Amino acid sequence: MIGKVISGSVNKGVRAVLSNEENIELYPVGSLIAIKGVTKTYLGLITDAGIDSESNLVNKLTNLSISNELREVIVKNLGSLIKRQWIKIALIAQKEGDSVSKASTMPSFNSDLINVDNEVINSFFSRSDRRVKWPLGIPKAVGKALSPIPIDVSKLIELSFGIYGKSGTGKTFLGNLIASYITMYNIIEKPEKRIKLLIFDMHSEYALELKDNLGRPIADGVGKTFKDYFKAYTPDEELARSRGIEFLKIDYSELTTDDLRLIANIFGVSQTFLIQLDNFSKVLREDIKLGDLWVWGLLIDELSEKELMRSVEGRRILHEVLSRSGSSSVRALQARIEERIKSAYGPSALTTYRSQRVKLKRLLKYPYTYSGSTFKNIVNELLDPEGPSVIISLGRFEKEMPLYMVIANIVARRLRSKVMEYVERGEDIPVKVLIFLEEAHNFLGKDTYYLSPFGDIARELRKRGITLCVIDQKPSELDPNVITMIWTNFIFTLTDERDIEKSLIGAPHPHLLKKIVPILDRQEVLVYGEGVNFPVTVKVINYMDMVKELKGYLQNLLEKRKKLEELYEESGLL
Amino acid sequence: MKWHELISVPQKAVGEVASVEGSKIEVFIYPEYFSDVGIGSLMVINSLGSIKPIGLVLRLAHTSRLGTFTPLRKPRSEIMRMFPDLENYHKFVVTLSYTSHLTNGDVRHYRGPMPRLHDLVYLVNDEELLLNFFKPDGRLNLDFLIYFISDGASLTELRDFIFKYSKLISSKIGIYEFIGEMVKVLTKVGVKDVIPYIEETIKTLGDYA
Repeated sequence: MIGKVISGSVNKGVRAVLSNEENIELYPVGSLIAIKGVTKTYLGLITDAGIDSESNLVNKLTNLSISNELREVIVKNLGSLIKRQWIKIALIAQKEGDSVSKASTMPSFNSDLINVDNEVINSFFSRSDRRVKWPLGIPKAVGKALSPIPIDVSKLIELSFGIYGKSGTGKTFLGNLIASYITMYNIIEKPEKRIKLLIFDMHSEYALELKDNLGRPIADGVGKTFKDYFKAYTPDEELARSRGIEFLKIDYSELTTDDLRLIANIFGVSQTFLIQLDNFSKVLREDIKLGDLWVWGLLIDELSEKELMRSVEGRRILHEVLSRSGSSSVRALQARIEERIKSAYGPSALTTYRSQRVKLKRLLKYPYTYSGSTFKNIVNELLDPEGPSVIISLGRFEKEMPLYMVIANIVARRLRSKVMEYVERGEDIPVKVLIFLEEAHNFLGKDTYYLSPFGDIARELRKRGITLCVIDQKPSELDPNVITMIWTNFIFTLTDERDIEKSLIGAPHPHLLKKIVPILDRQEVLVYGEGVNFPVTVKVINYMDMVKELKGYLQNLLEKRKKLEELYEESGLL
Repeated sequence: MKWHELISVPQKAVGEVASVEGSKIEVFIYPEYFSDVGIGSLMVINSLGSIKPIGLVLRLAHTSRLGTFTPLRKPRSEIMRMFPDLENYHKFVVTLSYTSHLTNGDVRHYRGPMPRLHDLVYLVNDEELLLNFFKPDGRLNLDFLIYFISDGASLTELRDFIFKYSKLISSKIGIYEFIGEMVKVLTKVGVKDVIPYIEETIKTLGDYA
């Protein structure tokens, strides 16, 4: 007997006392514990643990001049007279016979606490089959449960899911692990519609290697592990050359005013400028006749001219801009633009234009093009059932949030537009697309949700087979509409109360589970939602070991398939 | 020594059962043994049958059988010379707290059937038997104190008991183990403030603690 249920309720949690022989240090918050009721077995998560003591007795005992050894003997034998060890448990599941369900009843008074072993884990969470259900990690549990908690990939990808946690907690490892499992699921299960991944990879840890805290590579990312199933793109020319990745140039003619609004904060552009942006855009497009090159009207001046002249691409753009506007020089072009803004929108608009547009010139530091967009290929590849999944890695631009946002928005807008073409034809897209979006609050935040194409995707395209893996350090900054669209949540440690609260919207007993989140260890994740049977804390499986295993597994599988095909061919079946 | 070796010799009996009331047994002590008996002394009763009651002395009483008492103003040696049969007119009685019993030679710290009047009572001083009483299954078990305390043994009686067996406790049982087990028993019988008991035990056991 390790303890007994003494009070509580289904909603407020169960209070149980531990026997005095139990070492309370072995009952960490977040651990699974089982309760043997009269007719049901319950599973719960420890949400708090503590000791109540008889302070008068403790004081007297402390003042006794005896050896520590004797004091320990006395304390041990005083049992519940001096202390009462207790734990609080959030009930998550119940089992009666073979029927397992969410906990809706309270264990009887005096029910025994029991250790969680593999049998308990398997009966509540089922087993990994390495086809649809893949091992997420070993549950944090009181007892010797070594059976991994499985994640159901087929359910996970049906709806959007979120990975939250502070920096360095293991979000990227988990993201790579899940992407690997989805890839294996595609290969093994061959679902009717293949799941294509579109991964926006800020730190190149999906396309290339995962790194330790010192930046040293420690394991291949999913793109490298499954290199035949992924195609990587990068705006970092050197990285593209050295690692054989597709070089990605941005065509600024694909930018919209909303895109500029999204990145404006980072550039420090004033609100007044943003209010006038549609007017400026109109002037540049229509009055100056730049059309889709209107953004260049904001960027080109006598200073940037020199820079543009250094590259073929720059010279082409410059030539096209001057030619379309009928200006003889950059100075003449800017004079025309300014004159037009002043006459149409007044001198204050002109002042804003002059002072703020220079801030956008940071865009010139990114690789740009005017010779056709690579993004079109990316979207086509994504929607091709036989094509690869796509990773866009920033390489040396990993800290350039505006570039990341520009790329992601353009891809997302193109993807949405392509999907809408299918919709208008009354067709379904031939694949499912799951978008991994790091720093998601930049796209799906309260202020950005209605500006970003990702907001449109989240709102409109779930039923068309496009879902999101929202990865973020600050879930509280996500728009509430986004949070409600997320059906499986992986929560690494968070400390901000608002973040914890937001991450637990949709969880059973969030007021109880919120105590678990801030004290999760590194690589420990609280997971709840569609992808797992019940909420549970797991130590995420070692990614390095799993990658090795998956590589071997995949090689074996492909060899077997090849042999089988050869056999069929020989026997005339193929 | 074995239990049966002690109780099979009637000449070794120190007294006999004089009355039984509830869990307390009054034992008439033969006058020559009265000075050998003290609070906390262990006694075994040779009742009929396989079960032999065991108890701890809770109270001592020494009165006149006739109900009257006349002061003599003389030293004990002179009194004995003047009245050699004086003790025949006196009553030496101890109250035993029935704490345990012997069954087929094994000690159990539960009460068995009550003894009958005149059953012979033996004083247990043999170290081997005492140790068997304290550790019936090889492990220290002070559950007999539950009855002793319930029957009225206060800190004072407990102190005498510990003093009586202090050598045995320190040399054969272990002081820490004894205190730990005693604390457990005190909590079982509902003693809220165990600290005075611990203090007295440590004091009584002297430097050992």
